[in-house]
Amino acid sequence: MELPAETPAVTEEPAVPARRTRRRPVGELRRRWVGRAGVVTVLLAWQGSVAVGLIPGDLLPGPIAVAGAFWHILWHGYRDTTLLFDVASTVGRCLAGFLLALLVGVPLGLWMGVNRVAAALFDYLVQFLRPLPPLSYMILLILWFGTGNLSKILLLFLTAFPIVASAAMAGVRGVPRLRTQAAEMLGANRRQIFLQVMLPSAAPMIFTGLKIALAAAFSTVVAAEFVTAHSGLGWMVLSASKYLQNATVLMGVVLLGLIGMALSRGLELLDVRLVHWRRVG
Amino acid sequence: MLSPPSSVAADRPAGPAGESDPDFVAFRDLVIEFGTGEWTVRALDRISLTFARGEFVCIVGPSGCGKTTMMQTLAGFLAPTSGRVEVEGKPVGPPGPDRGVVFQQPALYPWLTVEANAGFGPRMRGIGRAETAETVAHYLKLAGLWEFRARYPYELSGGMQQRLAIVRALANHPRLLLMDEPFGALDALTREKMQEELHGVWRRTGMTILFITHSVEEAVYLGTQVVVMSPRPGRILETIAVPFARQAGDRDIRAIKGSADFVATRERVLSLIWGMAHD
Ligand SMILES: Nc1ncnc2c1ncn2[C@@H]1O[C@H](COP(=O)(O)OP(=O)(O)OP(=O)(O)O)[C@@H](O)[C@H]1O
Ligand SMILES: [Mg+2]
Repeated sequence: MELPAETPAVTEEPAVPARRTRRRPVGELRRRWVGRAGVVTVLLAWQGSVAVGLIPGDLLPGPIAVAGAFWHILWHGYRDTTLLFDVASTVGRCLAGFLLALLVGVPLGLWMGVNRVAAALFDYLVQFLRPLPPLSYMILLILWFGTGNLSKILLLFLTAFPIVASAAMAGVRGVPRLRTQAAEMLGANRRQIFLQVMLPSAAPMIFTGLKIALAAAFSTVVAAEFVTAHSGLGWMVLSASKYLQNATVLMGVVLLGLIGMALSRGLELLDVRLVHWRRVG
Repeated sequence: MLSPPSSVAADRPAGPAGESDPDFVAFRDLVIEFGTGEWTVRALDRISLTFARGEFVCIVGPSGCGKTTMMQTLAGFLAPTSGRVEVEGKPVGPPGPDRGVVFQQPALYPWLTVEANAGFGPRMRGIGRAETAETVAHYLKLAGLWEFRARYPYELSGGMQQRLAIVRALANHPRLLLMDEPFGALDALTREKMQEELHGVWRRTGMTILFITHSVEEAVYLGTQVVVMSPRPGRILETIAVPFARQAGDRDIRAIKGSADFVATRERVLSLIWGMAHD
């Protein structure tokens, strides 16, 4: 093709195209320090209240006692388990159930999004499971699949799956018609439209679903470990509470909170990377 | 028909060279109805319109008169209730890369860079990497978007996004370019610049363009023909040939828009639209 050279179009764009910056703005950095200062303040106030006898230390041990419990259990384990094993049990069950839900829920939800028959077939199941408190049917799973990991992983799968599936379905259904029409007129076939337009269009919603599902699975795993388990942080917390070892209970709770934060932070980082257009597109 | 500069001929769509086909695009007694039974709305009522290859056809008419419907039928998104729409004598099939569409909103893909958006069509059609890259580079440079090729659409201004949407359609080398109020959301200055650029592309490629607009001035500046439509049900009121559309030499946009020919044609179109309002 031979076209005469064209003077560059005069337009309203900025003169120097700055690269997309990944640097953190100053405000963000300051906010982080304020947040950390807040945490330190609470810890100091807590320890102070225990030290002057404002709070009875055996009911609510101070942060130093909690740290001591952590140190002790880190080296000596809790009853027959090591701390690492308890953490791995809890996180492993949670992730196993979550990943299973992802592997089944995303494809099924996508299929429900594009296929009316599939939607009709599975919609009631998903709608029924989604608001159902998992603990209500947990006892059945234990009866059927025993008290081991299998029943727990299935429980977490059933917790996360309807959330993931309905998010994927909604994501596909919400694809703007103009986007698929544009692909059609550009020459994409049905397969290409699904893979290259509908899937990425649905990605933000799928990720939102995954974040909610992981949080739900994490809170359910602890509850499941309360009911029947011989390892895991939930089990440790319940067991320690029976012996009034409140420092260990608190240690478990703090650890659970931190792990939960880390899990959702990990997914958040992945989300920001993969769905970079979320906030604007 | 005045012939475009010879350097352009190579870029013209395939077909019997130089042969003018007055029925390149033909709407024949086209009727489009929406809904069923009591709720039927007749959006287009026996539309007949033909035009030759290389024409720049502008459609104006009040809101709701069926302009978008007409274009969507030609694009293949809508099937006629009755009547036919043909390109080169054959009824149009489903949407395809031979008929590029620029929608009222840019409808770009935010997960793709500017360059990948521009090359989406060729990539889907299995055109080789090198050839795609070459085509895309050519049009991105033409549209002043080359420096922005590694950016994402949300990092562009509205006018740049619309230019990218045009580039994306052009990268497929369509026989027909369909544009639905593509400049509707732009400010007056950007809009005139885009009009000039689009007219330049049309002059150099000799492409056939169907262009919808609400602006009579835009239609008369760009078009070789201006089609005026009336609403409820949508009909074609009149087709007006634009006398200076193919005049050779520089086309200074301000000079043209101030010329007596331009003003006379614009007034003619406007009086048709006003006449409609008084009926
Ligand atoms: N999907 C649809 N279902 C029902 N009616 C429709 C549909 N699309 C368009 N119409 C009707 O058809 C008529 C023509 O619509 P169309 O969008 O073609 O108008 P238009 O000329 O493009 O208007 P505008 O200038 O406002 O974009 C309108 O009366 C509209 O209500
Ligand atoms: Mg319209």
